[in-house]
Amino acid sequence: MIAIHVNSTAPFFLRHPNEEYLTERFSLYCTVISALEWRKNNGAIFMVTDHIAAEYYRKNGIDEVWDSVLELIPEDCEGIDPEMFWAAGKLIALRDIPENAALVDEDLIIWKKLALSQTAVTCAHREYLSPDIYPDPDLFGVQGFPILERLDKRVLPCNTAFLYLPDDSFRQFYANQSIAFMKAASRNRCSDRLCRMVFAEQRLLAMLCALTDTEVDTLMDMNRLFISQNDYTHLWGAKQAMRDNEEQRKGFLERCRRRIRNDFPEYEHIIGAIDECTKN
Amino acid sequence: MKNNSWYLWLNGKKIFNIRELRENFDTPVIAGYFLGGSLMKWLSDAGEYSLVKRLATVDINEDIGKQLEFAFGVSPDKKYDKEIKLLPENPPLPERKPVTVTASSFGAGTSYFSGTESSFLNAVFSSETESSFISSLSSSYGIYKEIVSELASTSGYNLSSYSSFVSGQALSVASSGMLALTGSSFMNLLVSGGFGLTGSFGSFTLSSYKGFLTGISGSFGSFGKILLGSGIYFGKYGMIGGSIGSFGSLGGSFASFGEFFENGSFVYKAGNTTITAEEYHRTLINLSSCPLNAYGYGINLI
Repeated sequence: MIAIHVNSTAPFFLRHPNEEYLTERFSLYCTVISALEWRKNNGAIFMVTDHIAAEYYRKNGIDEVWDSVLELIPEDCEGIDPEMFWAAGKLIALRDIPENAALVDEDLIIWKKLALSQTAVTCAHREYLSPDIYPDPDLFGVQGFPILERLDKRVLPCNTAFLYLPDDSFRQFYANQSIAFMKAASRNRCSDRLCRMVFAEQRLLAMLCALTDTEVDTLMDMNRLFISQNDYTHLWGAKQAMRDNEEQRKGFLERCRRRIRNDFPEYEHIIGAIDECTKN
Repeated sequence: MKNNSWYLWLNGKKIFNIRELRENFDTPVIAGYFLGGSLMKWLSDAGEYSLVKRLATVDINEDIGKQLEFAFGVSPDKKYDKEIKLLPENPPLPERKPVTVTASSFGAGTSYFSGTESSFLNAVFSSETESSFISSLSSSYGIYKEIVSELASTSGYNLSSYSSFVSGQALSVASSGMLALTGSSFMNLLVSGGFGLTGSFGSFTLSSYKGFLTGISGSFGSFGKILLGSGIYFGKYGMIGGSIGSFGSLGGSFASFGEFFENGSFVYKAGNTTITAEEYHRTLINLSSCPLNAYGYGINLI
């Protein structure tokens, strides 16, 4: 099964307008292990990104962890506000990839071979409708997205750290409606960096599945995410925890290096490359 | 007329060609495909190049739906011919009202409070003695007491099992497979400094509990410190509760760890789901093996 990682540099340059592009070290280590594990267990994986990130990976020799790096994301993300919609690149990638593929977040590692439904949409897990995270979408005040009136607000959102849409046409439907929402919402910019994004990516997906009677499968049970298991790693909030705690960050980095040396000794040279081209 | 290899989803139907599109013209959805970027591709794939040219003149600052209806030559269906309601610009999201927390309100069933770490600690640990902390638990902590009393009154629960668990002995669970604590056993654990997996979590005396919250305690960091800046949201128990919600800019949300261990008890209930003692044990193992698992999952696997 083919998978893609997606990276857009637009959010980085919003925060660092006059700087050279750099990723965080722990983030890139996780991305590399994610790619190598996918290739080991499941098949080919591609990095779908923009020109700036593509050059960054190639220049620093990181690109060899993927089967190829595809420059499909425009640097301006088609005018979508990168502050409100920092994951817009994922939806553009889903729309524009030449053939169907699973979307794997860069901070998600899948440690096993997956057997996915070819009829149902598969996501990482469902999420609760916490009002802090998923307020009534009418409150966004987005004009130019009238399909919202038809959508069922009761359905539980789908966490899209992993996403596989076996039906190409449904993939287009979801990606297009999501991009339409983000473009419409971008006309009224605000400082919300969460609610609108997770609506566009995660809640809207669940709503459109319900609208079209598309079945949804999950990799994990949302009520059991904290119970010990051996199949999935998702950094999620740990990224911020590592930004705040140097000790935890260093420990994590060491474990990543050991993991690459042990499991992928042919890629041991990547460790030096990552340490050279990232910020600690 | 050419059939496309992929369909548009309009009016609840799969649409493969231009005739079907006109017959099932669904303005909001077609507007979404247009803004989303794929309508032009679908039309090109269907060989409708004149339409592609016509749609290239659509002004996105005007009513896109009406322009599309005109471009496709369809009469607007009154069902979708709705006036767009003007809403205030950038309406604020509803804010949760903060409540003032004192030591007595800590146990008074406050649904939540929001504040910084220091405001929470100041509220609860104002006198900063072991006795005041335990007193706070025993006398002010109505919600916890109620839950524990309810559990204790139910036959079949081995209430000392948690102490045994902590001291390294075999976990003793009720025949139902569920695990619970009494107020006294829990406080004994606090007094003695044992809580959870001693040594992995750190011992939870008063000072370590504070440290636990502020991130000073090395093995776990601030378990209650979450997402939206410096705010800490607590549910009824106050340890971890309510909705942790999403990890800020990192996106996603998940059921709170506090909901997982609702109201401080070690019996998890959410809807019809319960976890067994074995799953609870595995969860503590999971968290102790890698504190970062408090913020994500499976991070110990690296």
